[in-house]
Amino acid sequence: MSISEQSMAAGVLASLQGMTPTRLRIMFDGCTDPLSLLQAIDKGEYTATYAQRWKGKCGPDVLEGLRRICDNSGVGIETLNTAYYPSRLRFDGNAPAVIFYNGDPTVLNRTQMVCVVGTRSASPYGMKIAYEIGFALAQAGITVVSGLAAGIDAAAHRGAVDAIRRLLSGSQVADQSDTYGNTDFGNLSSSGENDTFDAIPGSDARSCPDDHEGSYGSCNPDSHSLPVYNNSVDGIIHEDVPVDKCGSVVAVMAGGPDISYPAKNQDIFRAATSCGVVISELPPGMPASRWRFVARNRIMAAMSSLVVVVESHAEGGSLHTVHQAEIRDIPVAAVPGAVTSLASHGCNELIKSRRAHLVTGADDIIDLLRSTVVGSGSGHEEGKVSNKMPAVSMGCPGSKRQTVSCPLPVASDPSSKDGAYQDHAGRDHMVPNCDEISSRLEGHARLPGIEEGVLYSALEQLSVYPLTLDEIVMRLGSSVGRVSLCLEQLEDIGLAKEYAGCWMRS
Amino acid sequence: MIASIPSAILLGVDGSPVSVEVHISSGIPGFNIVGLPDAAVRESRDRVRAALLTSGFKWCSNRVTVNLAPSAVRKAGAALDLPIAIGMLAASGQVDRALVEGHSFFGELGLDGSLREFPGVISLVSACDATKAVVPASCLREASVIPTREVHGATSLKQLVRALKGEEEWSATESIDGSQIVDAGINGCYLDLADVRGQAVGRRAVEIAAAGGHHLLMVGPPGSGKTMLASRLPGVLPSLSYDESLEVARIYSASGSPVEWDVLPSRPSLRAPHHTATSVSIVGGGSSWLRPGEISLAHLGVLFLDELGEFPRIVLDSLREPLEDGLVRISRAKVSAVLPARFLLVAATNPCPCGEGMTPGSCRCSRSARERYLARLSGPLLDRFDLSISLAKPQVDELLSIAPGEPSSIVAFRVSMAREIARDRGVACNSRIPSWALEQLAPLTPEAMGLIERRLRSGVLSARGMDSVRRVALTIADLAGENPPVKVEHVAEALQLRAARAMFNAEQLR
Repeated sequence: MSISEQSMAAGVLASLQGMTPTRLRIMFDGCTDPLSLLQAIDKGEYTATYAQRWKGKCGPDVLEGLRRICDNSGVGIETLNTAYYPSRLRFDGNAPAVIFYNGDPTVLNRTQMVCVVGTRSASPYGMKIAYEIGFALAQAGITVVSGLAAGIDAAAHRGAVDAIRRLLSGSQVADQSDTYGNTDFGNLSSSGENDTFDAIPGSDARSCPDDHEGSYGSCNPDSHSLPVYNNSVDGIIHEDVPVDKCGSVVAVMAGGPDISYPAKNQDIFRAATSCGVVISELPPGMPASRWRFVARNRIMAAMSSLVVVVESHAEGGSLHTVHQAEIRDIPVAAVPGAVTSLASHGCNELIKSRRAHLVTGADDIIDLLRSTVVGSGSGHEEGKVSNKMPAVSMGCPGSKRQTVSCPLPVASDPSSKDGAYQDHAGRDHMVPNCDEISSRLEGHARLPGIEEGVLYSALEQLSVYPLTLDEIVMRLGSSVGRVSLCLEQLEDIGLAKEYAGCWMRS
Repeated sequence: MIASIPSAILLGVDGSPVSVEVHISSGIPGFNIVGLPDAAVRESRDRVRAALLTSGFKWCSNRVTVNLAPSAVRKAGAALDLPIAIGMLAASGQVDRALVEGHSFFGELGLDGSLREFPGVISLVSACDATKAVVPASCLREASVIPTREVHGATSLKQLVRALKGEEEWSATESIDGSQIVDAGINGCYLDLADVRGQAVGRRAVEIAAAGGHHLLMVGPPGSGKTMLASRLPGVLPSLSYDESLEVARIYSASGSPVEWDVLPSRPSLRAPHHTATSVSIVGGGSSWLRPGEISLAHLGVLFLDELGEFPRIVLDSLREPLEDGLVRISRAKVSAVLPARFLLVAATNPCPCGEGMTPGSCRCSRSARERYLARLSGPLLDRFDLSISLAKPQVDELLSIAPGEPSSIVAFRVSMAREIARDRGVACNSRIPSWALEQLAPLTPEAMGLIERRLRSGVLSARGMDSVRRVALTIADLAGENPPVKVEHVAEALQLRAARAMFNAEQLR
């Protein structure tokens, strides 16, 4: 790609040592010609005192240096005045004036963007829910915005990336190396009255969200490629801009957009650059300082129509993202967790204090999106700050649907063989009954002396949070040997799994 | 004018015979010790001189040469004081050489001629061929455990010489022999398993560890009873036989730690070094005589390493060979020694830096902090643990309401029965069954084989893990009194009792 001289100049401004987002924004206010601005600074003609240190340090050689770096790392630059700059950020007083991106910039102006954030030290429950939410959102054509940090952020992106890959390839992705990649999504179908969209991956990639509200756009069943986004320079997104059925990912990094941080998440980082876009306020190659991790939260919040917190500790960093969303009137949703789970304290508090809507899965998030004003970027005025609850009327997240989460299995229903778990949220919280267990047992080696009833009572004791063998033995009041046998049998039929030496429902 | 006195020095836990030769000749008066003496031995000249004079003997004013043969081996320690003094007396004619004949001498001298104890009495006395040994009276009890030696004791040099001449009695003590071994363990000295409330898995693991000699790793938050369980493990181990007891006594004696037992140790010992221990203190070594380390002191007993992750990695990795071989070879530039070290390793660690989170997300520790904490333990060391269990804090109800658990005496009985079965198999305990013999000694039922195969295919189990599961499963079957082939329930339990191994597998937790 070739970056215009003006964008390059803006990029140099953003890369200057000691440049802060606020200073950059002040410089850009009313400026249409970054190149001459840069030259003025170089000559020492820019009046601000802080700019004096850059005198003679931003000449043409610096410009060429940055161009070389950008070309080598494949990074592009967007500024407030360029086409692909996220329209939702354009009207935000605190938004970065310059964005470095790595990937497909058209993604930045998708209409449906949901920010999924959470703690870095997530429980397996949070990881699983984040993955499933990311997966289902991407499938519903929604773009998942996150920070690619360890824990929830990475899990949500992983889910989204897997969904996109499946949709694009039209079949199951062979590479399922991650923990949650083996989740049986066959049961993951949403069952609305009139808002159905088929969420079975791979099996029917052509089905698409019902567009009765116009918000999910028209989908082209035969197109498996990302449509080219064609926006005008005025940056206003119209509600009828087509949204393809396949969502995308936006990763907002604290360091340069070519650095995977944490390095361990290299695989998702690469996937994010190919399936979506990785953006940053910092130029390529520049590592993040501590405050940048906090600063990027405002970008994630401002870009999104909704902020979803999957799991957060009582004073977790995700609550800062929530705050950033609140001052922008962007609705917040939170996934509840066990009251005993430290990792869910923040979420439960958000729900309790009515700062966040309670969501139990991607369906609720989509419902919530539908009831908010689509493309709410128009509602933002520069510098507008408000602390009140979102004015949109949400109603009960699941009010439209009748089968939200049915806690009891329908034993006699013959259709329950494979369709017992109509609802995604319900599926996780149900204990399969004895019939279900015996049908699962078919085709598996039976371990001696373990009846369905025993398995059922063992399964009842397991939860989505891991328990030690000791705790399970105590709850069942049985011998270690017998409980072990039960657990091995449950693992064989895929109802329980071992996690870090502990046991949980699978 | 020459005398040769048999004595010995300590090398590791073994004695090495030394012949102390004293030669007195005319010439310029002087006193030389040759034969690679270390500082303590060289200084014995002054102690010997003072002791001889204060005891009423004469210090000869001729040229004296003391040779410690074999002369190429370094001699350390002060136990050579007494043989040098006796050699002087014999060479100078103050004591008839015929009286000294057939005796070996050991002991450190005080300036007033008193005899003092020294480390390694048992090893040194048994290393010399002489049938009669003379030791300080304070060492007499310790030395008397050696049945093949006639041991005499004296409190001072003066008394010793008079006793040699038959003018005075030797110091008397009641000797220790095998008949005096009493089972001091369960009747009081040891903590009882009955005190442990709840903790079904922990108790079960302790029983299996004792029965099969399987090394045990416990992962759990503070207060989950890790130390409590470990300290009760020696109490369910079988008592030591006479030979084993003698071996343990020898090691303790050689370690220089004062031996204060009234009887030979009849019960396995528990050693619990602090995590600041150095690798030499754990493995053994040191410049003087290759002192036995904690792993040798835990020989035939239990080595408990609390806060395993806090031990320096070099210390932990130095345990790997001893765990495999049951002994440790210590080599230095001039000396080397083989020390026995067949111990049962019990280790405890917290699951994360803050200690409270058994799984990611259950505490404030970040995933990377957890991974760093757990990565301190190397895979090869973790592979040595046949049993890896996670423990949770017991519930309040459990602490208050549940009746006392099974007492150690009952568990110890089952353990001894299981060990009996293992002995019939030709191994001391199941953990020592070599891999190649597993097929023959621990065959599996088809269902059990099927379960292992499924776990191998799913990647939960490694080849090495499979062998350890088979050994543990065999121990569980032995405890249940069931003959091979090993049933699937035993394999399932063995699999569960090593489940905590997965915590250390960072990939799985991503």
